[in-house]
Amino acid sequence: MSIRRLPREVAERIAAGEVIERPASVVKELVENALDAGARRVVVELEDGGRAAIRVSDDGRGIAPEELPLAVERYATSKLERFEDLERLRTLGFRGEALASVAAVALLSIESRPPQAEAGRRLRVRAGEPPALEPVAMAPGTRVDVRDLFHNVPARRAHLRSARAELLACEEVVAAHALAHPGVAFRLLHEGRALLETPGDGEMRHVVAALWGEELAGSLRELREEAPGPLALKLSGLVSPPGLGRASRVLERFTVNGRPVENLSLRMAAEEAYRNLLPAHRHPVLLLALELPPLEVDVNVHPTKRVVRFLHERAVHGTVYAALRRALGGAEGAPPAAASSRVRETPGAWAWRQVYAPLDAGEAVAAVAAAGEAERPAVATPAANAAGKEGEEGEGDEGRPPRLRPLAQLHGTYLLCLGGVGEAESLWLVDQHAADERYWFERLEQQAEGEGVQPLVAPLPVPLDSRRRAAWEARRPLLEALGFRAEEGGPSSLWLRAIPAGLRGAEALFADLLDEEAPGGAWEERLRAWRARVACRTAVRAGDPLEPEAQAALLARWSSCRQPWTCPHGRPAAVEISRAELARRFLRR
Amino acid sequence: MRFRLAQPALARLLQVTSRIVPARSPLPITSGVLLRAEAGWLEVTATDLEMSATLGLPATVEEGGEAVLPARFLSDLVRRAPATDLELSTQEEALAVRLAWPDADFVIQGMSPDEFPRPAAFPEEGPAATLRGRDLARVVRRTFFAASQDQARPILTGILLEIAPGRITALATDGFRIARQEVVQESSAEEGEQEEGAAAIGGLVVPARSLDVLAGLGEAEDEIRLASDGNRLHARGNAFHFQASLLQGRYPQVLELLPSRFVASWQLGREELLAACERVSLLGAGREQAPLRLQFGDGRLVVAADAPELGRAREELPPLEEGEPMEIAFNPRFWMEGLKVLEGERVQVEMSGPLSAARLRDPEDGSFFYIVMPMRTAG
Ligand SMILES: Nc1ncnc2c1ncn2[C@@H]1O[C@H](COP(=O)(O)OP(=O)(O)OP(=O)(O)O)[C@@H](O)[C@H]1O
Ligand SMILES: [Mg+2]
Repeated sequence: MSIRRLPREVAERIAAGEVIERPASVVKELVENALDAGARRVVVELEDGGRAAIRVSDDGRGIAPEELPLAVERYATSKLERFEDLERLRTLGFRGEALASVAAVALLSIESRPPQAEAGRRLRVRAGEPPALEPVAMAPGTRVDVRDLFHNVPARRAHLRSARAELLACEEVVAAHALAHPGVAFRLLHEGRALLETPGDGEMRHVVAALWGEELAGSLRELREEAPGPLALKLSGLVSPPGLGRASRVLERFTVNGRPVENLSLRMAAEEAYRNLLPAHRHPVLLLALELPPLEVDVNVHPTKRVVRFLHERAVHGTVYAALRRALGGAEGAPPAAASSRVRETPGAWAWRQVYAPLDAGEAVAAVAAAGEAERPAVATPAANAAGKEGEEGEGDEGRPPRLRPLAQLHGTYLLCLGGVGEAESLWLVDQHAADERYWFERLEQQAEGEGVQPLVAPLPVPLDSRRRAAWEARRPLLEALGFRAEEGGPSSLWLRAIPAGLRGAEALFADLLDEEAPGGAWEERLRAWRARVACRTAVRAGDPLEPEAQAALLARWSSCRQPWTCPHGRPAAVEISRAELARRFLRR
Repeated sequence: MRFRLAQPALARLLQVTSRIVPARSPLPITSGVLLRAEAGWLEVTATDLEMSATLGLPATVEEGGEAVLPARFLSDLVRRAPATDLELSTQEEALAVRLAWPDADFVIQGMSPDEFPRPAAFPEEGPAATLRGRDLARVVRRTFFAASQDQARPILTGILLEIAPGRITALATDGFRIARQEVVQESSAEEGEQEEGAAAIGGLVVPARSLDVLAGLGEAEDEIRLASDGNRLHARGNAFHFQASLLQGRYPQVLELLPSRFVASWQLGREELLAACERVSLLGAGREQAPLRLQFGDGRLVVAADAPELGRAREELPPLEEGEPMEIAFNPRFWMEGLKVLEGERVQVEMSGPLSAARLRDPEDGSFFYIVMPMRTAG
């Protein structure tokens, strides 16, 4: 489509006004134009953090020579004709504003050569002067050169931050777009030095490796889902497994149809999905790309287009949440340390191993004794690995801890254990409270409605004052869902008749659940909060001395969990110190 | 202090008492045993502050006195000593004790006897009762397992004892099941007359752990005299004195609330039933919450369990006596512990509803019953 002037009434409905605030804004507009032109390679060159010069070159389809003057005219665009076209919009730009805005505050020069043209043409624009055109020799594509940003707007220029800060902002823009377009090779140079380079092979993981390192890239889990149904939402990306998380949200990123965006409901979906899987105030790494029909997304809500709105906000939220839970849930909750090459067991085989293997406390005790003596082979030979049960165990399966042999209790709180065999043998530290809390949480979660309710031989009286009575009336359904049954036994007492099976100190806990501030939110959320509460109270406490048998039993319970790696509050339950890590600490390599 | 005693006798004394010595204690002195020699008699005392046991034996005492020695060490050493006369004597240096036999000489640094917590004297006045050691052991063994281990309700970690002349009953519950055993002693009935000072001692709640120790200590004794001073249970036999702090508080009246009539009563072979339940519950081993389902009806009992991801199990048993049909489920551990503690050939299973208490008993032995609450199951 050729560049045309938008009809006035269309221009008025999409006009955003000033969008150039700093060098990074220029970089964003130019990179978006390159992407809209179908570029496979985008090179961004900066001088002085972009304050002196910004040059963006691409190998896209270029601009026909006769259209060059129109490109810098306000509300002239090749991407939109009528307002309704927004519903079919596939490009990042649509306002026809960007280049004009840049030209208004900087010295702009555009060189462009469509592939079919024999030579390129250069257009120079200076605010207040008529554009000048001249031929230029160049490869197909477009190169936009922006110099002396805000040379004519001293107030703006004064507000620019240091070269370092502006550079950082530019880098951030390039990174965000590189992430949104793994199929495009990006290169960022500052004063001739390459700062960033992505391969453009279509693999998001390679982009992540290029931006933030191999280690992070390797630790992330892939997510790919196509939600069927009316929404036709495609979801792909990389997410961090449950575990430690990060202190900030900077690596929670979403792109919608190739556009890096901010969206509250996406963020909420993500945080909910990681609830109970990350410690409080920690955040996941989350690089999610959503593809959905343009009709479903409104991009015309913010001048920088960074904020989008979904037509079916709730459906998008729900789909993303569910997809994340699937990606994080089940047998998948591996700590980053778990090698990805491990063989996955079928759920049945797993379940059996959990029920059978670790039950024998005597064995655990024997293992404690043996651990002191037996020299283990430093490297497991393939034969040793293939033979016998031990070898099988060493394989382990992704997402579950190997069978752990307790060695000692540290500070009355951490169980020091050995796990795995051969190469995979490693030292583990298990937080006894966090681990047991996880077990109880899942046990409460798994018990179906009405199941796991243990009636009492004799009801337990719970004193009732008016506050408690009110709490009882309001919270009864929630308490019953947890497995408590009670009935009123006169004006000032309640008879506790049944408790969740296996619970300790149920009477006091029940009273506390009446006295405490009730959790807020939706039913499921409140139930989850209370399950976590009950789990916390029932679990072995930090500081409780545990005999070897009790340690083995706790580890066995814990390792049967679906999400063993964190407690319900998201703190880590276990830390693995691998052979490699030990070797590193002892400077063995 | 200076005395002589044969190695096997001293070894046994130390072995029994050091069972009480706590592994860790806030009071270091309790890691020791108190030795006290006096006029041809040696006494060894150990305590964990909740209970204490004193065992005595005749010994050749040359000089009376006391010493506290590390319990585990002393017990280990004496056990390994040759079977000959051992001599123990206090030394010049403070608190040291010399342990010697021909060719051997050990000097052991001890602790101060003044710091050792002394057991209270046996209350000679007031009500007391006498029973046979093996009867006491029996009531404890058959109720011990049903006591609670949950410190949240400390009173339930005890066993409730009711002692009357010629009769003792013990009851334990953890809130989910109740075990109750009664023993009537023929011996006192035979004598036809009450011994002096014999009286009922009602409602003592003794920590189950302490009673277990007492049962072990006194099992072989012909006569154990029991008394209470309100804070402690005292037991005295031929050669031992034991005392245990009582649990304070009101023991719940659990029996009052139970069904007085059972609508369904079935009789089964106890061992067959237990074996079937063990096999079926093996499937859910380690998953306490997986209930064991029992379907009584159509001339048979079906025992079944299913465990998600693992499989399903089902066994059928013919009853010895059939009753009304009933479907009920139990925590497998609670259920099977009851079956195990019954010793008879047959078991009577009495129920009054899928959510009401069930009773297990031996149709030939009215002295014991076990009450267990069912579990609610989904669907
Ligand atoms: N790198 C490029 N390659 C090819 N064509 C380009 C390039 N940059 C700009 N153009 C052309 O110039 C036009 C104007 O670009 P400009 O960025 O001002 O507006 P836009 O991208 O259409 O809308 P927006 O203001 O939303 O960015 C575009 O519509 C496009 O046709
Ligand atoms: Mg544009």
